[in-house]
Amino acid sequence: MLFFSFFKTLVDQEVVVQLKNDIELKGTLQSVDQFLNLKLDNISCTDQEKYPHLVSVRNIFIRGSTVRYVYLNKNMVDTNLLQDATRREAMSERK
Amino acid sequence: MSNTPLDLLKLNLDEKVYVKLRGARSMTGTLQAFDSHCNIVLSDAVETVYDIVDGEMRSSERSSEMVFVRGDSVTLITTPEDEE
Amino acid sequence: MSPLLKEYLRQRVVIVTTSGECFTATLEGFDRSTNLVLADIRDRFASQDGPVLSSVQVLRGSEVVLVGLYEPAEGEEARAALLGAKAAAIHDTKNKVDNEHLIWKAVGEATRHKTTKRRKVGE
Repeated sequence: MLFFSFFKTLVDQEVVVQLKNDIELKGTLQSVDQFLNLKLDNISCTDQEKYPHLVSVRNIFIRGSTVRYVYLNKNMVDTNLLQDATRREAMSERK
Repeated sequence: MSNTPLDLLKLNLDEKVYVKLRGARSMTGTLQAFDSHCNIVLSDAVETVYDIVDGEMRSSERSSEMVFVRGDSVTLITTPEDEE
Repeated sequence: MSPLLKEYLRQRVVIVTTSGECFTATLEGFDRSTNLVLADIRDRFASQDGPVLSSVQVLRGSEVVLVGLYEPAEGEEARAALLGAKAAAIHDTKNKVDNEHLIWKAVGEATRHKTTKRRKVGE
């Protein structure tokens, strides 16, 4: 649940998603679900020349399982909060 | 008492880590978050992608100030060898 | 539930699969595993009144990479074939690297070398 909550704090921010098929997309994070499926708005493909497949596509659903990285900016993340949340999550998951 | 893998990882929060990834990639950075799927967030990260071209090893690097790495790509997390 | 795809229902969408296929289709249904019911599946760069590859099909969620709402601007559709001719093949998502173990062996040797050197300095 930690990363579901984390991504919810990033809604409306511009992120760059690198997929496992090496395609890279920039867009505004619109929504996220518990599988970390992402919806991006106003997307652009970093390598549009090579991958024109998403010309005519502005709004996109990405299946979470195909994400490799999500690049963020430092100012989007409160690292102290995130570390504390990680410690708490690690505690609660211990049986 | 606290010797599960994730407890150990907790000690590395806010510390530099070296992460090995699927597809001949690795990344170093400061560990900001993780969960039981090994999803992680690193700050000041440098990714290295390795490749063998004509029997010769090549690598390329890419830095990012903050990155989320999906756990299913992660194969290993450790502290970097060349600390200090 | 994953309602993220609800907005796309009964609309034309572009789909990329894990094996690198890309096509357009009408999204008729979906479930929480992203299994999709698709109709009128056409090649991504074929004209929208062109040949139908398949009329109805269920695409397993584990094969789905992305689903994008297809909203061609004026004249964009006419350019599709042109774009398609220049388009590179999309990679699959497996990231299979030939001889990956050899790469790690080489990387390991390089770093081991460094550590040994440092130890000598420390002694």
